[in-house]
Amino acid sequence: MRFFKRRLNELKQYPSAIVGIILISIFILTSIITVINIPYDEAIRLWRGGRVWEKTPANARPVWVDWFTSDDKSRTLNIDSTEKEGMQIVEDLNGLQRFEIELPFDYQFDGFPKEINIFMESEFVNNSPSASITWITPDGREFQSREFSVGQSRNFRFERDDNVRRAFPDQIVRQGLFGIPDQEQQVNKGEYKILISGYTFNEEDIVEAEAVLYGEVHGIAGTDHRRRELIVSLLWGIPIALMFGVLAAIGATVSTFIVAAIGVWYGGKVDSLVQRLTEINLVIPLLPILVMVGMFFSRSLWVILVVVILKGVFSSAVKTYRAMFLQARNADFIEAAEAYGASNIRVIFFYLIPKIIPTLVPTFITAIPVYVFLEASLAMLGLGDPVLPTWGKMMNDALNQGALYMGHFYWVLQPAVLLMLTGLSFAMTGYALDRIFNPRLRRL
Amino acid sequence: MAAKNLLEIENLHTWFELKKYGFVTVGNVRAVDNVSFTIEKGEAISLVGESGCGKSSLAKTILGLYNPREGHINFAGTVLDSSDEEQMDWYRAKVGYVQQDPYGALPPFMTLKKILEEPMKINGIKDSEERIQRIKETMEELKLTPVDDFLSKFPHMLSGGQQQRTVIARALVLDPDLLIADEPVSMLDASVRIEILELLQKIQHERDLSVMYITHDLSTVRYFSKRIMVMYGGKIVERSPVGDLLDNPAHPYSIALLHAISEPDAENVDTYKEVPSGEPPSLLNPPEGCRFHPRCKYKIDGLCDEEIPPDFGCGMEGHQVACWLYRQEGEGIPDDS
Repeated sequence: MRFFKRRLNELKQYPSAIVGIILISIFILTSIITVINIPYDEAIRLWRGGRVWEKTPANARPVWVDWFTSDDKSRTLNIDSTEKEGMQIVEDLNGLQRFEIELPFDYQFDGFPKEINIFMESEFVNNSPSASITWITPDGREFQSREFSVGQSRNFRFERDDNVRRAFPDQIVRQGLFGIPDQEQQVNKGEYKILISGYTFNEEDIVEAEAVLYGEVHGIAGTDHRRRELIVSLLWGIPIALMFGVLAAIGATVSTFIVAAIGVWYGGKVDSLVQRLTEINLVIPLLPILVMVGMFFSRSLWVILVVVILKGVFSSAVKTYRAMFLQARNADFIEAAEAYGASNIRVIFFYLIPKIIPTLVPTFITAIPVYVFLEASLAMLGLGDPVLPTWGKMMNDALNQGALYMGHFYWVLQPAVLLMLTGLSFAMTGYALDRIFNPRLRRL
Repeated sequence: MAAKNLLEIENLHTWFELKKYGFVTVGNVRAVDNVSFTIEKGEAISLVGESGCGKSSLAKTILGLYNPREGHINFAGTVLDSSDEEQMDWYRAKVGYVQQDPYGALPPFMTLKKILEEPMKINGIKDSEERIQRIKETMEELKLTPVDDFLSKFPHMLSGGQQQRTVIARALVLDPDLLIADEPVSMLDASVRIEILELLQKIQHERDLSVMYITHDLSTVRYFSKRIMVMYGGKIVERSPVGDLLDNPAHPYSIALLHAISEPDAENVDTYKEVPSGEPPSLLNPPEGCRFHPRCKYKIDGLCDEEIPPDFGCGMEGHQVACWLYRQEGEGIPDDS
């Protein structure tokens, strides 16, 4: 152990290794925080989508895009009646109550919102309350909708209302509502007011409303075509990618190492068997096998992991390790161990493998991103786990939706950058480790 | 008799098969060919011979690292059976092994504490305090003091002499009855050699240990062995008390070997050292008859190159030589029928 501590201390001499280790630490820390804050079930639920995301815009760019544009993109605004004054009874007409809900907001963005939705809910005894919605612009113009029955819940859109639509015959409704008259594409900045007024038929009836103005930019990472916030899969992609990479690297490199050691130690038929299996395995391509497993069997991440590890046991590294072990097996200290009665297993694991293990460490570290990329490639080809939010899955969605053609660059860019950072961090650490553990590469 | 002799080797053959295509045997390397000898309890014997004569193969066969093709090893009254794991474990704990290259013999990734604990862990001493106690005793015996300073060190932090003393400590930590030292000082500095040899001698006396000291350097055998065996081409050609062999070598090969010792003596400037011509015999196709006959200037045609010489007595008691030159009338020559 002290041997490794000393080696790890030497890492300090390599700036690239420090950067790599910092990046890896950030990744690990973020994974831990993510898994704690968004538990697995929650992540799966969020990623499955649906009504969870009804209050986020579709295909909205990330907020950071706004930092690089001259105009002020619109953000998402939620105006909730329960956080304001709420429902006010203004008139009691003998068993019939007139109510008003005021939803004021200050709109100072240069861009129009992507959509406007007013979600209404009511609790009533006998008859559903009825309501109509009035849109009041900063310069005092008023547009009133038809009267409608609220029901238990209702999603009101100005675009669908005949009265409001009639007011803007040759314009998109939301641009008409926010625009300055006769000046298209100009936002009328100021205090807007949404006034919901109507009647309830029982004193205990309650109406609640929430207006959502969907922004052009939303969230740290934007949203996709199903309104899901991409940050969920960006964050959850880290633990999944790291787990897959580390497990596959451990499974494949460590087992290869042990197989090579066993082959060399027992020699003869065992060695021949290991070598022939390796040679057969080398001519079987991995990707088509994974594609077939994905198509016909299962796309579960665990199944893919098992296939990757099984395929990796007799990899070409067996040959490299074998050469090292052949050299080590004739060491005097191994002969001495046999002379004082060490068993075969003990010799392999306590004498043979520790002699070579320093060369395994850098190989192991550099192998991790290889498997991370493999998982991402499979997901991008549509063979990823259908349930899990991963980077590859994100890019697959982006490809299917023509993200680059539609200008949703962030959709591809963000997972790609994270993948590159993952590869870079492990590569930088691995190469520095390689220099430390392989004295021949060490700088003088 | 059985109680007196710790180790009895009878007709030991260690042959290595050479195979073609993995199954066709094309020949045997006869590294050890029909060797018999005994070591008494508490006795030190030397085995000398040039490189490649089978000394180390003999040692490793005795250690149980190679399986003999024929013959058997009788240790403390028990005939060893290499397929009996329990018996071999017991035997291995009773035999210590000191190798030539001290640095190679110590695993570079273990601390001294771990290195010295390993034989005890393997041989079932489970109490860690007892292990530490024995390590401390052995290290003090070998002057690896202060013990605590050494325990946490790695082999590369030690000097050559300290490394070799660690190797000896590892061999002794199980309290063996027999120590096999395969050229224990040939890789060390001349100044350290004497120190190690004296230490071995002292330990041998104190522990009443049987030692088999293997070397190619006749100048060091005087140090602690009483008997000496000369090995050539996989066979023991001469055995004798040390003094007798050094003063009166009998076998032509022993004579040549003694001539080859370089003594730092000014008179040697002018003396010509006669070295037998030719090369050591191939153990794959050893010469017929006496293995030394192609290089021997006393060769008797028709005898030395046809018949393998048996052991003849010569000179002092216990001095035996496998050479036709010392045959008595009517002795040893098989009937040609």
